Amino acid sequence: MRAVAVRESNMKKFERLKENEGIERRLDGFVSNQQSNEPKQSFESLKSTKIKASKEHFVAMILISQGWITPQDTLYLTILSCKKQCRRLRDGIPAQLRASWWINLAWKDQTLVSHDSSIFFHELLEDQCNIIPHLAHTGVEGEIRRDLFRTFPQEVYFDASTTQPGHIQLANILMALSKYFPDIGYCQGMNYVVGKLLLLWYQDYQQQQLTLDHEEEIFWVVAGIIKNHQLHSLWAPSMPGYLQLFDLFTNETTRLRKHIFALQKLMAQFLPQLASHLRQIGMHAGYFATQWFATLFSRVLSLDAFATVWNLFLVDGFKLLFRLALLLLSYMQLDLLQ
Amino acid sequence: MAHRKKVLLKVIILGDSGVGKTSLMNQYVNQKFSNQYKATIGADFLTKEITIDEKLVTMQIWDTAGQERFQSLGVAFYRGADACVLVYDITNPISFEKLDSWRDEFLAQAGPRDPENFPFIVLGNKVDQENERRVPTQKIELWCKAKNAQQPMSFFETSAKEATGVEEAFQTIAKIALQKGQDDDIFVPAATIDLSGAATKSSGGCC
Repeated sequence: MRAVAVRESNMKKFERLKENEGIERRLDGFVSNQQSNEPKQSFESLKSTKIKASKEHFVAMILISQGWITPQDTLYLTILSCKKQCRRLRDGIPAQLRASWWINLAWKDQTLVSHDSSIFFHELLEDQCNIIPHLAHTGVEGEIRRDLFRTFPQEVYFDASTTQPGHIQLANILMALSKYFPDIGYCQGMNYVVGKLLLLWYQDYQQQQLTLDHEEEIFWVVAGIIKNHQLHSLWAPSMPGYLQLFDLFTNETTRLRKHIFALQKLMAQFLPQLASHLRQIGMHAGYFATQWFATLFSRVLSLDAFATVWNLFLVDGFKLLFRLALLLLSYMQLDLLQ
Repeated sequence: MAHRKKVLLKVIILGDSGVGKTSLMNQYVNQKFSNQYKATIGADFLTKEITIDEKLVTMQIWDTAGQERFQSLGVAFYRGADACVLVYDITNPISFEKLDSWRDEFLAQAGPRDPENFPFIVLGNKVDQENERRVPTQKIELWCKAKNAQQPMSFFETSAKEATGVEEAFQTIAKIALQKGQDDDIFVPAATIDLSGAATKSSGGCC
């Protein structure tokens, strides 16, 4: 009986938490210095439907918080792999569950066996704990090397004055990704995604030193989104040879260009005034959207906002990023039109 | 050119990643250097008002991403450019060897009316690291001559960190671009309106 009572009180707590930090409120928080309410109305349709509170929402979390299951249990994975649960859980996740939850979402229906994946990650790094001294100065490795100290250098965790653990972790993960996806190699933007995830993990683990296990978690989150969220062509260089010939006829290269094109179309539809204004002054959407999309918003958003966006992004995929782009533009519209 | 109300010069900075494009732009516009710049994704720009021959000129300086795979997005930013600054790192010979491809790619994508005489300037950055120099000055001199024997491109060796040669270099490119713009105005008197939207239409085919 006591257990039931505890569970119920926990559920109430979770529900309160949810009500207080509804998704709409959080999206509003992205641009806290904007007070304008006017452009918002047209945006109601763009925002995700409000999720109704329900008792089943946090089953997985309660089971974990009670110590009844661990993230390694099959039961836990079963709960997580239920699509309905995914949708319900998407607007909030306790820090201690983030890693397993995000890996699960990133890999969708494909389950990762943690034991094998760990071996795999170490093989990619050839059993090095610190790949930096082994990085070449040219090619992909040179590109990674150059960006290590240019990724969030204002953050203490990546303070550029000396080599920090953060730089080593960043190098390890980027290097492992480039080996796992040789046709992508390394694309600028990935550094910010991995960097932001490291900062988030660091916060989640109460600023304790992150270990190789954490690096591995972040590696699998990013590897998962590349494989399952169509990010492969976002970051891969345009194919040599035939695509360039192809290019002559269609002007079609990377997915990034397509996304920017799509955003311009969406802007014309949902923010016509802003779209025509930007066209008039010769401001191409690529100017702001390249960075938003290539870094999956990791470069511009605060850590908390990034965590919220990614909870949704991992469920909804790239369309969420379009929604977010339009939302941000709608908040800035009045300023931009001046 | 009295018919021009306001002179706007659009200047594009190109070069390999890590050569110091962002630092050069910030040194020129804000007279500041920081070793905490983030890697540029896409593009960014700053403006600076200067006076050249008693004429008020607004320089719009575009800083771009150096990684090659972002080049295909360049067309949106290159349109309507009046001048182009090519940057390499004197301690990195590969960044020097890539100057050719940056120049060619720019001309191909920007499609200027008179590509032969389009205003370019070359900056060899990071001269504060002289003891690590791996690109001798003669090399860049020869390269500039090889591109245009009659009117070799101007080149400067700069240090964004110590502000060496930066002001001079941008002043020079502004003058060249202004001169070129005036020559061109004789043929095309109306101010051109850059409809970048037109450029994006051709990039379509997605939906």
